[in-house]
Amino acid sequence: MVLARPAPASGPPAQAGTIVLLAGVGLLILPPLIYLASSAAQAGALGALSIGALAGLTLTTLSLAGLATVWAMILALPLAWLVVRTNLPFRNVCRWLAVIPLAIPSYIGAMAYIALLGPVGSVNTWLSSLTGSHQQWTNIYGFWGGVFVLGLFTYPYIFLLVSAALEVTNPSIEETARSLGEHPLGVLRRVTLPMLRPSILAGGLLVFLYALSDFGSLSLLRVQVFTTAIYHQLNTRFDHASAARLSCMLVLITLAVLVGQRALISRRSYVTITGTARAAHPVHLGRWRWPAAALAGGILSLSVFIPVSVLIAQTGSVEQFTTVLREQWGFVKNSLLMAGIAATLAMILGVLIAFTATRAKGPVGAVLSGTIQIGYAIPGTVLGLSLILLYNTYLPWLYGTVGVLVVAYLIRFLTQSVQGLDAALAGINPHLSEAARSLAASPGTVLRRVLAPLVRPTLFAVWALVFISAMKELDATLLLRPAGFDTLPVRVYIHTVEAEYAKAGALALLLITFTALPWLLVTRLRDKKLV
Amino acid sequence: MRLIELAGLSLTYPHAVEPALYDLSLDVAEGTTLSVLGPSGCGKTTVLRAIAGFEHPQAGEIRIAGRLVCNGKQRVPPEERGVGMVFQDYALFPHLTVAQNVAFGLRRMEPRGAAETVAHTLDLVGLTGLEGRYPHELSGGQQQRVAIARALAPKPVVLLLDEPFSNLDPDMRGQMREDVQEILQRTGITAVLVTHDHDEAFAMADRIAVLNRGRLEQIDSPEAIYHTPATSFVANFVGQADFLPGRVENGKIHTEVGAFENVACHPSGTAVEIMIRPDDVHLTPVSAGTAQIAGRQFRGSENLYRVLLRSGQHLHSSEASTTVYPIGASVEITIVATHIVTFVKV
Repeated sequence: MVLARPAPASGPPAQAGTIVLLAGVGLLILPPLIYLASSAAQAGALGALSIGALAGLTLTTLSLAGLATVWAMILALPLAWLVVRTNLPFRNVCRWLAVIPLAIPSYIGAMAYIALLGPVGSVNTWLSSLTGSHQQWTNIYGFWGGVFVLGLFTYPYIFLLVSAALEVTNPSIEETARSLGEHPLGVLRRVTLPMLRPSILAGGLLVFLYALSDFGSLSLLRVQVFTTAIYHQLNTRFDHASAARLSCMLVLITLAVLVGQRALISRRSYVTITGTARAAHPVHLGRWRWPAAALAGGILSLSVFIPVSVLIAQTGSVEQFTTVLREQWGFVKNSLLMAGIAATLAMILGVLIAFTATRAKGPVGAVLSGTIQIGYAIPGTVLGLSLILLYNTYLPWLYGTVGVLVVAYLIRFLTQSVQGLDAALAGINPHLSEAARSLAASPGTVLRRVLAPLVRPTLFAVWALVFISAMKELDATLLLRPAGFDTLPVRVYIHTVEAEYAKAGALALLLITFTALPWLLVTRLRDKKLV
Repeated sequence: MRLIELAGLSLTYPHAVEPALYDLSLDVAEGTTLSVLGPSGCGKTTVLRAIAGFEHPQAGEIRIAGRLVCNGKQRVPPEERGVGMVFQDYALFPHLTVAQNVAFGLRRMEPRGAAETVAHTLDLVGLTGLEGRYPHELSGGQQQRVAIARALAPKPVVLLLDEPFSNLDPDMRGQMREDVQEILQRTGITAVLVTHDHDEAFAMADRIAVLNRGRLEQIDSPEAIYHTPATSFVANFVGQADFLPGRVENGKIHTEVGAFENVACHPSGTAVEIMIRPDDVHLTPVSAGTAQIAGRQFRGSENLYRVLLRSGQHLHSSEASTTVYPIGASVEITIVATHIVTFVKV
């Protein structure tokens, strides 16, 4: 149901406040990017980079993202169809489990598979001790490992969109195809898949963009793509100009993908999947029921059971877990503190921006949300680099403090808070305020007694979402953290690089717990239709 | 020739207490239109879906053109039944154009023949010129025409229409009814039309089957359904009807408003109810009549009066649009019934 946006509230629009807010958000997000572009343009066209190296990097990055997207589709599409449309055994459990990989950051997935299949991973160790030969049996490092891990931990984006679309697809459309002489498989090919194309494309785009911007897992898996090359230029060669140039190219590629997707969607605007009260009859799989269950079980094993088991096995025992925890408690506190501050600030700013956007006339709202979304689209590594370059030059007192981390988290995740609150405010029937006013309530009373109670669950939800994102953030944190100020993701990364899988496993388990708990709370709010 | 034969169909949905269909038998003659009429939830759509092959009755047989397609154990899948189905929501393929929608079922034809069939069918439904449009670019009436064209294009044995006019605006409905009727006549196709609207059934059908709670109440011509309903459910469902209590004595049925022929030959002393349609009741204003005007609904082409008899019973009367009596006026009642329908009181 789409309710009308609230009518502009009475009283003069807070002009000065709007301008201050616009300027503040603009100053937060735009200068780093502008400065990045100008540093890139400083010395020559290519600087220390060769055309061949750039072309190779572009090719690797694009083909890795493309193949990861294809792999995620291969995982997501059959699973979505099986759990929504068939009599698959345990389909509701499967449906629930299929979303779990979203709670496992891809660098933790990479860590688990390195601990399992890496050169000194458990499988190699076990096979060597079994055969006595020290041959390398498995090696997850490299391009194909990156494709494997990224697809495995991002397929839920496609799964969620496609299963939702399958659920609301009008079953009589498929029945019509049957009565027009088409066999079930033909219906799938000629009707169901084409109708799902917009959802598949949208989910695929999310996976592709994720793969383009990911640094953590690809760095652990030792793949040379843009993000890892930027990090390399910055941290081992100290070549800021080259890093900036690579960053600009990556941003341009991201923009090109987004523009291309816009064009693709607007050309075929047939997306008219209408909701229906009638659920489709589940397809009876017959003798394929258990083979299908094995397929679903295989996908869920790769993406949930195996990585989680590896983490638990690496951690070893409860004793070891508590030992690691005691030893690293300071880093845990750092993470909680930073995520808490970022979430609280994002929530407050989100309220201000959402209220301004709904009340302001003209394009102010669109400009605000557009600017904020730019921040979200910048890969973490690129953002880290831009902030280093800018603050090192102009705000050296802020550079190297935790303040710069908070700035990075706000730029990356403010959009989550603004979008959630925007939707909540737009969903409030404007007649509610008017009814309260006609019952002699002052504008302040309306805010306190009507709007605030309605928005409160959303406030909590956006706080939790930003908290989760900030808890998991690795790419920018790695570049921006003050010396000695590590967070949980950073420790997981460092221990994995140093092949200390027991410590990495314990901290990864802790991190998953810290992100899963708020997520469960938000899901409960969603189930109660409060958010 | 009986083109569709249903014999003893019974179907209970999983987790349902009452059967959706119970021991249902009916036939459709070739080239005729049967309307399946009943209130929502009576099983009428289930009948249609069973013929199309989307529901599977646990008992009974379905034959299409003499071929057994379903007998409770074995069944022919929908794609091999040769039926055309028009859904209530049209179910147009959103990713295909009008022409592609209509051509969907013509895959086994050679391309030139298929293109000709598409053009011919679009001409039949009056959509020539809209071949390249997508469904969301069409009005409701046009979408319905596409749905009908798409179902007709592969030359099905029978056309099944599920509440085809219910999604249209009221002012479109009359026009579409006439157009669809003409299409059915021109193609000479056998059709089964499901509806809850008796006016629609009367207007479109050669025969009407009235369903109630999964059971067949009556199957007959529209005139017979209206004038000589077999059950009081049918009498009530297909139009305004009042039921006057009466008693059989001396070969006549005596009621408050006069005596009627005992055409059904009930034995003397039986308590019956006689069905009175408003068009059989005529009012004359008199100073001390047996009834009083209790209410009036102006309906444009007629006035529907509600009159109160001395016993407290209400009766409806349809009068000319220009005949206006004030509320409370005293009237005398004359009943001219061409069909006398009685139900024994239980």
